[in-house]
Amino acid sequence: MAESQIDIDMAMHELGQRLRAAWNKEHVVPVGILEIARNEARNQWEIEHQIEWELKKHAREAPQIEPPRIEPPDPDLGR
Amino acid sequence: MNCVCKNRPVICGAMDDLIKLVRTYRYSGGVADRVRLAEEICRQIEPRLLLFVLGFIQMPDAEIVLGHSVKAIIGEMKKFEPRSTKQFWTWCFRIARIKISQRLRERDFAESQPRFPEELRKLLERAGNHEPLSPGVKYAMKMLAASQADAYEFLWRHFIFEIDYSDIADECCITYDDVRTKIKHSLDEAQKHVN
Repeated sequence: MAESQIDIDMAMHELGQRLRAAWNKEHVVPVGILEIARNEARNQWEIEHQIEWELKKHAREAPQIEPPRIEPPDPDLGR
Repeated sequence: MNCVCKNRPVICGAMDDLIKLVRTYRYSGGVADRVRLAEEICRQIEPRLLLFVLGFIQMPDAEIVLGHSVKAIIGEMKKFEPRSTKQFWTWCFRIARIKISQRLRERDFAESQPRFPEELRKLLERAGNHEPLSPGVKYAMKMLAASQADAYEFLWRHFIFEIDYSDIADECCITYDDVRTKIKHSLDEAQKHVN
C-alpha cells in the first residue's frame, strides 16, 4: 500500500492497539514497585495516626486537675 | 465472574474493579487493609502507567519516574475522590506527567529523549514476528518518531492511550476545541516530517 493511501487516523489507532496488546502480553509487574506501594500506604497510615496517638499520649500524661468542689446550698439559708 | 485477562487492565473490564479498590482504600481504616489494597491498586495501574511513561523517557529513568509516580498516587489517594475510572486515570497520568517533567529537568535531557523509544519499537517488532505489522502501523511509528515534542505528547495520549479529547483538555487545562485542533495539526505536521 502506498503511504499516500494510508488512513492516518486509523493507522495511529492501530499502532496504539498493537502496542498495548504487545505490552500487556510481555510485561510483568516488578516486585520493587509493589514494595514502594506497600511502604507508602504504611507511611501514610502512620502519619494519619501519629496525630491521634500524640493527642492520646498528651491526654494521659497531662496532670489531672480536680474540678472545684461546689458546696451544696445551706438548707437553713433564707429562713 | 472470572475475567480471562484480569492482569491486563489496559484492554479489559478489570478496569471497573480499579475504582472499587480506590474507593475501598479511601475508607479503610486498618493498616493491613490499606497495604493490601495499595498493592492491588499498584498491580492494576503499573503496566499502563509504565507504558505511558516510556513514551516520554527511556529506561532506567522510566522506572525511577514510575516509582515516584506510584508513591505520589498512593500517598495522595486519600485526598482525591474520583467519580469514575476515567477520572482516576486522568489524575494518575497528570501525576506521572509531572514526575516525567521533573526527571527530564533534573537530568537535563528533554531534547535528547527520542520520540517513540527503542524499547517500544523492539516490542512491536517482536510482536510483529507473530502477526506482521501493517504498512499503516509502520507509517504511524515513523510519524510518531518524527513529530515535535509538543505534537508528540498529544498524539501519544490520544492515539496510544485512547484518552479522549475532553480528558486531555482537563489534564492540560485547555479547551476541547483546542485539543481537537492541536491533534489534527500534530498529525498534519508529523506527516509532513515523514514525507
